[in-house]
Amino acid sequence: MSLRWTALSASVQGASHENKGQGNQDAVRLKNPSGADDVLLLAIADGHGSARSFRSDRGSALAAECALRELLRFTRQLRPDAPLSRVRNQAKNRWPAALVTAWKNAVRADLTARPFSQMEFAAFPEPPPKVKPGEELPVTAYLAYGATLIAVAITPRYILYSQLGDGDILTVRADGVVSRPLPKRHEYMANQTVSLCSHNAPGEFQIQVDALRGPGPALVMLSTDGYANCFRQDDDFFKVGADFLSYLRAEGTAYVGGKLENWLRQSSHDGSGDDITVGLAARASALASPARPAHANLLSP
Amino acid sequence: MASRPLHFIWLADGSGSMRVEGKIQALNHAIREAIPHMRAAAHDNPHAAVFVNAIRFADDAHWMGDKLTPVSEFRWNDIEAAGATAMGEALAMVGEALQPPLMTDRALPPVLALVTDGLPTDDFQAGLNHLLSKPWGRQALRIVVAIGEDSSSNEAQEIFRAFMANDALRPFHANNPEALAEQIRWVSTVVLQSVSSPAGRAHDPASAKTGGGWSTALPLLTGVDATGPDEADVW
Repeated sequence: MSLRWTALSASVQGASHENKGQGNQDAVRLKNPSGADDVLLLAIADGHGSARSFRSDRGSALAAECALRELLRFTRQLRPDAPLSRVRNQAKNRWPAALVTAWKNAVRADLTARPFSQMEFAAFPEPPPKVKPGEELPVTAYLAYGATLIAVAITPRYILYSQLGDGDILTVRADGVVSRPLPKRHEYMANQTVSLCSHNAPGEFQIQVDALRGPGPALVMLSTDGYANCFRQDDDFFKVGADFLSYLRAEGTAYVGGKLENWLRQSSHDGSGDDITVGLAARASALASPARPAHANLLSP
Repeated sequence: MASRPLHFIWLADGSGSMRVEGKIQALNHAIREAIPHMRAAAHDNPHAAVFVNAIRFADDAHWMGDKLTPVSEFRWNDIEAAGATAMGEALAMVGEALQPPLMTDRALPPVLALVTDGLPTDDFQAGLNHLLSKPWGRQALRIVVAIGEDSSSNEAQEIFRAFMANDALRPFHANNPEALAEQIRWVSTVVLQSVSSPAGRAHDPASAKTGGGWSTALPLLTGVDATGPDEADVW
């Protein structure tokens, strides 16, 4: 059975983080479909990387892993012919809470295995939080692992887009038109964002479920905020979506997959200096028509 | 590709009390002397495009230059000291500026550095309310360089706390020209470097209580001791 969608990704340490010796706080996980009826899952997470979020590299990795696991569970628990209204309802009411619970459990397990040291809390007034049976961890424990999350599930019938905090999802139609399936939230400014450690994290999720009645988007692009911040304005950033589609058509997924990391590294160096992570999900039938890249935004610093 | 804009704005007290004991000369000298250090700090972080400007406040408040002045082109024109202390007007003015088109979604948090020796003579609270009613005004890192003994009064400290609105921050205090120069240089360089870091910040009331807001910068912003050896003998 031929695959209808294929995903690729890359994640690079920010140029400014390289200078400071701080590791990449982003994470990405993907699951490509094993057949035409299977689901594609893609999740990216952006650890805060601030002094208070000193384990956010682990927090983002846990977030992306939990997202894939919970999304798979979510899509499998719904019957293949479940009405889309039910999918939407469940996606809004069940999936965010399930994901946040899974992430918090994962943080708790990680903390049990690797308790906070005195050194990690040396700069803060309170003692390091400890895992105690039957007791919820204080917010400072989750803040240490704080991360945003963007996750997408592409099934044969629908695409589920979900986002908690900053970062971007772009969709690119076969004719190159780029749009956002979820509205941009302008309150995420000055590097400030809601995230998995926020007080009401499940309620802060943005969710959209689109039916795949027609061909659907040719490309879905997920990126952490370090990528959009490399561009002076949204219009320039949108061109990147169209560029990726052009390159995928002209050169193929193996070529783009091989170049992606270098492109992102160059963008971070010439732009925001932040970690950058990109996940791309391309519809196979949309890649069939070869075309030369129309733009060079990916490569033109 | 483009680096992210970072606006650094001095709010400089040019009121009559600054004329006493050479405070205004010390302020002019301190900021002028700090500019090369500021440029060097900005140069070290090519991922931030630093713009510098200043508002002088006395009987009223005025921008001292174009709002989009790159740090490489910023020049400090000495200010005179005379008149009252329209600090509230200065805050309202900067709040008005910290909006689109000057501020874009991708901007780094602006820095507002208030340098003053005393108390406002206008409606400070109205100006502060206006500043904090603007999203970028709330997101700004607001710091104080307090000059002289008068700025240590309870009333002045209350004003400074209200402006900074962050329990973890303290005003930088300078009681002599050397200390002022050092504090201004610190603000111009270390603060600039801290703010231009692309680290994310959780915004959540619960985490804010624990320093989730400006925690990245806090160790740097509170770590300087520049009272100087002769702190009691000038201001």
